[in-house]
Order: sequence, then C-alpha cells, then structure tokens
Amino acid sequence: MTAYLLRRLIWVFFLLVGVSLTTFIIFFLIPANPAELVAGKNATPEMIAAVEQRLGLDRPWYEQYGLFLSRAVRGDLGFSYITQQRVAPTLLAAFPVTLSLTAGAAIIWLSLGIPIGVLSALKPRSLPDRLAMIFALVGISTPVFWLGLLMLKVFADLLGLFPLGDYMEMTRGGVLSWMHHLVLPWLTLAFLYAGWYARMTRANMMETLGEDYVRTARAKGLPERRVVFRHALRNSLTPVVTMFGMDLGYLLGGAVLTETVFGLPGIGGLAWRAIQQRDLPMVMGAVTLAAAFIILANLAVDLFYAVLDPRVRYR
Amino acid sequence: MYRHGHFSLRSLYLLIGLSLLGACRSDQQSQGPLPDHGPRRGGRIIVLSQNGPDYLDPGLAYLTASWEILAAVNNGLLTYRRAGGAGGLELIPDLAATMPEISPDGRRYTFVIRDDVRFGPPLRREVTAADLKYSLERLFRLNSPGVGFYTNIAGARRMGRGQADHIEGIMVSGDTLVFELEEPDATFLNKLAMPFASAVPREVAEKHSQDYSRHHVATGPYMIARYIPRRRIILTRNPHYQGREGCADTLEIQLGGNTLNAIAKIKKGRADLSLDTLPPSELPRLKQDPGTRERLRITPIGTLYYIFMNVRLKPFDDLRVRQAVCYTIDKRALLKVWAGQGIIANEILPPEFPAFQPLDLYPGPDLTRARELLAEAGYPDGFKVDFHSQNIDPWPRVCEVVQAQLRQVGIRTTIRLFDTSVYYQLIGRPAEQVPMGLSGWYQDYPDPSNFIDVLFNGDRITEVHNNNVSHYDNPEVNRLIGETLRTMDPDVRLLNWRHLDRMITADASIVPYLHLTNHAFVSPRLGGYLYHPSVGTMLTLLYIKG
Amino acid sequence: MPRMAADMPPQKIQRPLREADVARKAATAGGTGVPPGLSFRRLAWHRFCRDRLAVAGGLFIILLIAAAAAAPLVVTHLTCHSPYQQHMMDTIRLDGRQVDVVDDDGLPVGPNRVFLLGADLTGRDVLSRIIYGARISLLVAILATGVSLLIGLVWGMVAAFYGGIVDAFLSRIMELMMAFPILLLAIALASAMQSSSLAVVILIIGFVNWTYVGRIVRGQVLSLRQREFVEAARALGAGDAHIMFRVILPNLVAPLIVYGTLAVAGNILFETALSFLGLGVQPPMPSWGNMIREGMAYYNVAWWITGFPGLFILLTVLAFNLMGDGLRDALDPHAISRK
Repeated sequence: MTAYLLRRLIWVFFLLVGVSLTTFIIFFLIPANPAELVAGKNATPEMIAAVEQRLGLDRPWYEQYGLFLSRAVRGDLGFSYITQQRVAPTLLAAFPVTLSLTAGAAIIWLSLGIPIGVLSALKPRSLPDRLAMIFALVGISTPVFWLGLLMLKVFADLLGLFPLGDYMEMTRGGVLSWMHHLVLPWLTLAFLYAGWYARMTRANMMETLGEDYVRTARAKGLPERRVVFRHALRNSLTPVVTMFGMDLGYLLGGAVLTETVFGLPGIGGLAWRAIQQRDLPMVMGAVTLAAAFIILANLAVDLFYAVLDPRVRYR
Repeated sequence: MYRHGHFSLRSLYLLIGLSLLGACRSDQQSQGPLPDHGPRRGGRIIVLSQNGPDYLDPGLAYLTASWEILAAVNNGLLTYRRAGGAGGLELIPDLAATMPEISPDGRRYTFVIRDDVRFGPPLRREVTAADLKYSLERLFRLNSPGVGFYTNIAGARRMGRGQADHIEGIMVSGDTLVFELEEPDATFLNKLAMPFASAVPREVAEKHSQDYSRHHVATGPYMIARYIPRRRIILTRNPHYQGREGCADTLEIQLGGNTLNAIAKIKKGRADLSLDTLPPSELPRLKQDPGTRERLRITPIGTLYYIFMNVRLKPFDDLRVRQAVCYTIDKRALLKVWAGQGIIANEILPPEFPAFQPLDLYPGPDLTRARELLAEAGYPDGFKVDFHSQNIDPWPRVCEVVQAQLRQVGIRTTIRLFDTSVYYQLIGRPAEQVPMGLSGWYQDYPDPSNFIDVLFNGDRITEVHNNNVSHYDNPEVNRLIGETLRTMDPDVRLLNWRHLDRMITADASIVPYLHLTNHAFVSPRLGGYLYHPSVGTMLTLLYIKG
Repeated sequence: MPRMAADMPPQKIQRPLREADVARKAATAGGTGVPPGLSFRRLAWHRFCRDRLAVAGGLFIILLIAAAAAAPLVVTHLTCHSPYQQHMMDTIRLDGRQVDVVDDDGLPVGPNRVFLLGADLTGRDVLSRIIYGARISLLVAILATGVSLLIGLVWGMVAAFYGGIVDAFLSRIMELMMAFPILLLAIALASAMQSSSLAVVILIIGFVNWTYVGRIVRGQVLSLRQREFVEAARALGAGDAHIMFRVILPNLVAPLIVYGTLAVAGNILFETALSFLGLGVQPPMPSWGNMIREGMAYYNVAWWITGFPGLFILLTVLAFNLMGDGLRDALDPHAISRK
C-alpha cells in the first residue's frame, strides 16, 4: 500500500510541474511587459530595465521557470505584478470563499440528487420518476451564468429576499449573514449538479437492481430495504464517488462563472482577473493551485478504490 | 425548550426578544429624507469602492479612489477650497501658513510652514519643512508615477537620473521652504496640491520603504486605523489633528463587491455612498423614482473622452481622412451609451474651465462630406483598421456604436479589447503602433495645460507611458504650448489656450465626444457630499444627518 | 464543462456492441414488438422513435438548424431586422406614439410589435441576433466536437492499439491535460492568442475537451483489441492501419455518436460560457453567450436582453441532451429500458 501511495505521490509532483510549466509557457506567448506595469507611469526606459532586472524578467524563460519552481516548493509564490502583494497569502485569503461556495453547494446537491436518483430508480417510468428526470435534465442543460442572473433578478432584485451577490465573512457578519449571502450561489450551483447526480444514481441503481446478485438477495427473502441500501446502493455509488471527487477537485480550483456573476472574491475570480491582467505570478499560483486540487481529488478517489479493491494497487 | 409539552417561560422571553430584534433592525428604505441641520459630529459612514486604492502611499498612488482616501489623511503645502464650481478651483494654504511669495520672474516660491501640525500616531512630532522636502525627493527614489510633475524643480532631473541624492532646488531653512524652478510654471502651485507632495515622515518611510501603505502616518483629520487589502479600510479620528474638519467618527471603506450591489445597499441605507462611477444601467430607475431622484448628486468634473487616431500611421497621416471620421461620428448616440452622464464634447477643454469655448468645427454627422473627403484622400471604398479599447463597461459598447457608424462610410473596424492595466500600457508605447481607439482623461489639476500640454504636445511624446496617444506633433502648437507654460499672465494664458484648443481640434487627431459629469447616489442619511474635480469625493466633509 | 463521460456508467463503455447478439436477442424475444430478424440499425431507429422526448429533442434541433441555415431568409421575412443594424437614434411607432428605440438613459425598448423579443443596448433586434447566434453557437459547438473527436479518436486508438510504452506515454500526457482546470486553460489560451476568430475559438474548445474522448476510445479499443475478429483480420494479413480503421473503428461508431451528441450539448454551454467571459465569439458577431454578457449590467431593467438568449441556450442544450439520451438507449442493446 505504501509503495502504491509513494508512486502516486511522485507522479502527482510531476503532474504539478507539468501543469505549471505549460502555464508558464503559454504566458510567454503573450506579448505584454509586466515590468512597465510595475515600474509605473512616467518611468523611463532605464527604470523599466531596472525593474526587469529586479524581477528577473531579462533572463531566459527556463531560468525564470526554474526560479519560480525553486521558490514554489518552499511556499513562496512570488509577488503579484498588479497589487505588489504576495501571491500565496492572497490565494489563501480567497480560498475560504471558494470553499464555502463549494461545500455548501455540494451538501445541497448530494442531499437532493442522490435520494432523487434512488427513488426514481425504485419506481421507474412512474410520474415522479419522469418529473424528476426532466428536472434533472433541465438542471444539466442550464447555463450556470444565466441561471445565476435569473436567481438574482427574481430573488434578490424583485423579491428582495437576498443580497445582490457579494461575500460576507463569517467573522464579520456572523454565520447567518454568511449563509444569507451564499444561498443564491449555492442553489444555482446545486441545481446544475443535482441533475447529474440524480441521473447517474438512477442509472446505476437501475443497473445494479437488475443484476443477478440482487435477484438472488430478493429470492432469499431479504427485506427490500436491505436489498436496496446494503447491496444495490453501495455498489451503484462507486461511480458517483468518482464523479464527486472530480467535481470537488474542479470546483475547489474556483468556479469562475458563478463567482463572476455573484461577485464572490474566490480563487476563480482571482485566476480570471490575473489572466486578463497578464499577472503571471498570480496566474501561475492560481492555475497550479486549481490543478493541485483536481489532481489530489483524483488521487483521493483512486486511493479510495485501492482500499476497497486490492487488485487496483498492483496495476 | 419544551418541557412536557408546555412552553417554558424562557422560550417565551426568547421569542419576544427575537421579534423585538427584528423590529429594531428595520431597513431605512421606508424612511423619507432626513432633516438636514448642517454638519454634525459623530457616527460611522460606510463608503464602498469596488477596486479600492492602488496604494495608500501618497508617493505612489495615482487612482482617483486612492487620492480620495489620501485626501482625508494627508496634507501638503496647499489644498483646494472646499467648494463646488468655480470656487473650488481656488488654492488655499494647508500645511503652509499662508500662500507663498512668488518672485517676479516666477521661478522662486517661498513658503513658511505652520508650526502647529503634528504627525499622527505612532509619531508625536511636528511636521517640518524638511519633511516636505524629503517627501518630494522620495518620489524620485521610488520611480513614482508623479515624478513628471516635479522635474521642473532645479536639480530634480539630476536626482532622477541618479546623479544626486537630493534636490538642490528645494531649500529648507527652519520653517521656511524655498523652491527654485528651472522655468516659470503657472501651474506649479496646483502640482503642490496633489497628494504626491503630501508630507511623509522620513523615519517611517525609510524603515518601510516597500510597503509604506501598511504603515501610513497621517496628518489629516483621519488616520488609517486598519487596512486589509481588497477587503476594508477603516479611518478613525486622528487624535493629533487640531483642525475643524472631519465630522464622522469613523469612515469605513468597504472594498470589493460589485457595483450593482453597491446601489442596492445605498438604497437601503446599509452603505452611504460609493466611490465608483454609477453604472449607467442604474440611472433610469434612480431617476424615475422620486424617492431616489433627489439623492442623486451630479457634479461636472473636467474630463475628456475621445477617439484617437495615430497620425504617424496611414491612413491617419492624411488630415482629410481624420476629418472624414469627425464628420461620421454621431456623438448623440455615444452620449446615450453613457446613459446621458455628461455633455457632448466638440472641443478639448471641458466646460468647467474658464478657458472653455464650445466649438463646432465638424457639424454632423455629415456622411456625404465624409465620403467626399475619403474619396479625395484616395480611399473611396474606405479601409480596414483595428480599433482598441479598455474592457470595462460601457467602453465596449461605445466601440460597437462607433464601429457601426464608421461602417457607413466604408471604414471597417475590428474591435480589440484589453484589460485596463494592460490597455494604457499598450497605447502608451509608440512602438506598438496602435492606429485607433478610445481614450479618456481626467484632470490632475484644474488647468488647461493638464489637457493640452499633456495630451497634444509633440515634444512630450515618450517611449513608454506616453499620454499623447495620437502622436500629434505640430511644431507651431508645440511652440505656443511651451510659450504659454512659461507665461504667468492669466489673460494671455486664457487666450492662448483657447487658440490652441481650436487649432488642435481643427487638426482632428482626435474626435472628442464626451465631457463626463460625475453622478453619485447617496444614502438618505448622508449630508455634506461634495465632489471636487481635482480631489474627488471630499470624505472629510461627510456627515450623518438628523 | 463537458460531463458526458462521467454521465455514462463506466461499465457501459467497456461493453462492446455485438451485432450478432442483438440480432439473436431480437429474434428470440418478442418484447420489442418488432418482427424478428431485423437489422441492428432498423432496430435502433425503432427504439429511438418510441422515445417521445428524444424525438421532440431531435425535431427541435432540426428546426433550429434549418432556421440557422436559412437565417438570412428568416430575418428578412420574419423579423424584418438585420442582426447587425443598430438603431441608437431611431424611433418606432407604438400605440400611436413615437418611441425611442434607445432612450436618453441608454435603455432599449422591450418586446413589442416591431422588435418581437425586444431590442438590445445598441438598438439591435434581439430575435434576429438570436437566430444568427444559433448559427454561430451551433457551428462552433459541432465543429469543436468534431475536433475533439478527431484528436481523441486518434490518440486513444493509437495508445490502446500499440500498448506498452506508447500507451504509457500517451496516457500520461492525457493525464496531464486532465489535471488542468479546463475553463481556466481555455481562458488562458484564448487570452494568449492574438486573434479571436471563430477558427481559434473552435480549436481551443476542441483542444481542451479531447481527453474525454481519448479516455473512452482507449477503453473501448483496449477491450476490442483482443477480440476474435481482430485476430482473424490480422491472420488474414491486414496491416495496423487497416485493423484500426476498418475493423475496430466501426465498433466505436455507436458510442461516439452518443458521445458526440452529448458533447455538442456541453460545447454549446462551453462556448457560451467563454463568450460570456468575453473570450469566445467577439461582438458584433452575435453569440448567445456574448449577448448575455452585453446585457448583464442591465439585467434588472432590461431583462429581455439576457433572458431570451439564455432560454434558447437552455432549450437547445436540453434538446441535444434528450437526443443523446435517446440515442444511447436506442443504440445500446443491453440497456434496460429507461423511459
């Protein structure tokens, strides 16, 4: 087990290097000179050259990347070209926002999607099943940014029940205010994802319920509840866990669209603004962080399977 | 908590308490305007700013929001009278005891510094003339964006090039501060009123040279009590301040958030005002509702929004092509895109300036004339060109409207949008050869030179951070500008600026289209709102009514 | 963000479609109501037609494609407006009064007799722009899907077919790509490119999404590789290319069709998301995404500018999803009937 884990961790490190290197190269394609930004207005060409030297921008790209890497492994992600603040603390400060958004939405969509999927699978082609699946279909077909605007228009603007976006830290307004500001973003995200989970759970459940061993269990006279929950559900949930891992990994890297519509200062918004402003250190930090979440989430899911199924470890 | 199915007394009290709490927290939306009895001390005023300041270091800050905040905590030799309109153009002494003595040749300014102004916590000492000299020299050490305003001081350029470690043209002797200029400059006093020239204590600035913003020392009515970047700035009373400004006890500046939310908060009274420009989409509703209409504050601010054409590139090197563009643009449509927040500009200088004169050199739109001119210049079928702009609302829409208008005469544009920080860098570099695009200019100080010299002097075209984005270079204009800058006689200056405005507008290297006015929306309880064209929102004058 | 691969239960992908099995089942079972001995294709078509929602989706798509293809005709006769014609300074006659199309505050008129779905902020007709936008969004989504299919197919096929080092190398690269947050990657690429022409947008979207196809194809080919008919072909002296493209590929057609349909749905969402952020299709060319972007600031006073494009995105994506679901049920003979 530890050998497997070790192998995977080494590969994770390589993946992170690969991602950061690719991002770095992409940005070298962009012709903008950050030294001018940092040097400020009224800077003479000499001053700009001085800044270039200070930031190491006059060195070849592989040297610059090497510098970035050597600092990054020590936790130093450099300084933003735009705000002159350190990148790592900025990202860290934005993370709770993204985490709040993701965790809250996840709780909602899991509590909605999975039970709906299970119930639909138990009564296929009934009216509730059809309605639930249409609801799920609409959920996965809706553009998230449009839904967000719709929610804002109806619930925040017309009805005045919720604030028009923005984020309220728990430490400032208390837990209730924090939640109050997040309800609409949560519902927007959850509406989308619940659909996927309902469909997937339903499909898997129906498949599992048709398997031989379930028929056997039924034939043996086991109570229906046990059949459903102990046997069928457990097996049908494994792909759902995979999907959840991927979704979690992706969202923790920043849900750019939702954060943009609701004005939430999370990692997605940071990454997006940084790319627009050609703020290379911030872009590197944000993209690498987002990739790290995706990679680690996948690793966690794989480990989960490795624990469950020993055959996986020896592949 | 239920006990055997009965309500306990405790839960009853809890219920009553909760309902009372709900009653106290009523929104102020239902309240009418509060009675205004004039400035009152006390209270906490909440100000919103989406992007916030770039720096809280007066040596580096160059955004309006930064200057507005710094004006509440810093002081320089001079400042502007706290009045609107023409009255606000007058300079009054701030740290100086009186207005300075100016030598007859206009090159020597003698100030006497007040001896009763102290730095705020953590320092206790008085502000001295030496501090003011240090603050200006610091600009050169920091490569400040404001350096260009003070290069006229004798010895400043040498310090800028690193050949000296202090500016010999600034002389300190006790309480007296003397400036020796290389050339006379009638706007020198205005430049001293900019936050760049605010007093900064040497001991703190040297110790925290990289992040003075976090260790700011105040001299004004307020001081920076807390600064959390992108989140919040808290200004509280400066205990060492002895003047009479500053009504509210605390100014809380909330950063981040979006502008739509800002308006909603102000409507409900949960915030008092916003430092950002009002989103055009909000204006219709605010104007229609009588309850909100009277809380709109409209102030002219001395701006120029324009379309520039790079005269060094074909086809804009031909005057006729540029004139054709002037005849094509329908500025009324552009005003609509800006939701009517201003007046149409047909000249460079904004109406707030005494030297303003309304021109109408290219009455239009006149598409026939435009097509004639293009044909004459050799472009009967028009031409293709890239059109550049910033990416913030409503600039992209202005681009689209201009694009549709130009298409009518065969000029086919491709719109290219850039983030703000990247955009000004881009058009400020002649090497990029940007042919055409949108730009805007807000006055740094209320003098025509700030528009005409900065934007249209061919001798001031630089390799980077160039402000003359149309690369206009007319030797006669350059000469007259230089002459006017050296003149001290206000009447001669007025005439010259008017003449220059007419010449430059006729030469059509730009198409001016809008003089923006500032629209602000305030909460029901806010009094004392004043927007000064050079300072911005005067935070120290705000108070809570009622 | 394309989710089709995750939506398909993994076991489904591994099981190849075997025509012999299907025909046999059809011949012996009578439950489908179709006479035994029918070909696989006809059978699949019948199954598809019985799914009413899927058919509805298909019809909607056909109508939309027809409208999009005939867009110039439609806007001339139905809406009488060009999608590019601005009306900033024009007025229209409504209820006996002359009304500004765009008033002095910049507010456009809502849905009325002249502008059926209202006007946008520069006075252009929303309905005409939606129809032209359908062209753009459909074109981009379909071609981008094609790009992903092409790259993913070749990649997955080569990796699985040759196995060993080749597979290891190619799979590692796939893993690297999948580690990227795809929206950020698309944003970064779009920002890096100087031009934002349609071709660039299509290539970026296709490039960012190919790994999903690659994974499916690789999985399928891995299991198909050991089949008897492949061995037989090899024994007959067929070369690698022939085996890959003449023998294995036909078996991939069905899952790829299903994937492709669902991928178009996802790519419509992806393109509109990019345009919404300002990176995809650039104005004045209408895309449903950039229409929402342009109208976003006015969403509370001029809801029609963002409302209708979004609604069309929803309906179109819904239609593709319904059709994709229907195709999957129809083409997979082992599927338990779900509708």
